[in-house]
Amino acid sequence: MTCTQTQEKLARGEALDDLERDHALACADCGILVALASTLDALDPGVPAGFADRVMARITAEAGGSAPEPPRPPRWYEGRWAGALLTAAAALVALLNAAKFFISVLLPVGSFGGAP
Amino acid sequence: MDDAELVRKVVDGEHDAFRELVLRYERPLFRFFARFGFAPTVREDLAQETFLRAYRALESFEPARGSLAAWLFTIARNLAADERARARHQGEVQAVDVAAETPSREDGPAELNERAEILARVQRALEGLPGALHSTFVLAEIKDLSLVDVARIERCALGTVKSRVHRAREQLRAALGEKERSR
Repeated sequence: MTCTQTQEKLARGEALDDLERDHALACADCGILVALASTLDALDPGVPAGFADRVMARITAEAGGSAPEPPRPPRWYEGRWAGALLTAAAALVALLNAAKFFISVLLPVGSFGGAP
Repeated sequence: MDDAELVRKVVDGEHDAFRELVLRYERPLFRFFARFGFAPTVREDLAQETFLRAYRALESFEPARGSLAAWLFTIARNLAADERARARHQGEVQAVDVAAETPSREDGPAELNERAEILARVQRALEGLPGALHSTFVLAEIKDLSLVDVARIERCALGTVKSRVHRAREQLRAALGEKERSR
């Protein structure tokens, strides 16, 4: 029986068997850890009566007294893929406009055989 | 029904599904705030605020990125840290009547006194832990959370969580052992 074995069990929150309990009673270090674990368990105050009702009432009150609006699911245009798609579309339009502009500047109507 | 399904229901408009989530996590949250040493009224406020914030932000919860427990306790941890900082700044002392909180019918006055003394010592020893060790240890002691969840909440590696828990236990053991020897 080792301290490590006992302490690992305590860390996992498992109950000690008879041998481990005997060890913890004889070993000062493990004894303190047993006391600590049981004291932490004692620091479990439970939940005050009606707590869930009070939470739900606050949620309802926030929504103006009526049944609360559920959290709104994201709109289609708020999704990550939609954002990327809209950005790509905007970039494509900008590219086409730029191409149209350069074509109109670099290739004047005359170059296509118009009157000199 | 698992947490992710309940969340989906709430987001789709089934208001009462959120009550189920509250009932599922109220006890671990109260235990968490108690171990931070908050007085009962403060615990209730913090637990309510945790659920309200969770409700408002529920649409942003992504099950693929972690459990609902980890997400909820991240909110709770931030609230606890803010409250501790606020209380320290204002010089408030959290007066927790630990004996009154854990009464036992068989206990006489002497046992109650002893229990109160032990609980108060543990509480003081916990309070004496440095910030990161304290919150990691308290989170790890909440059995509803895995250490992976704790790592996610504390934004550190799993190994760091294990090491912090180990160091916290060592420090608590040293603090409590010293007091024990000096009695």
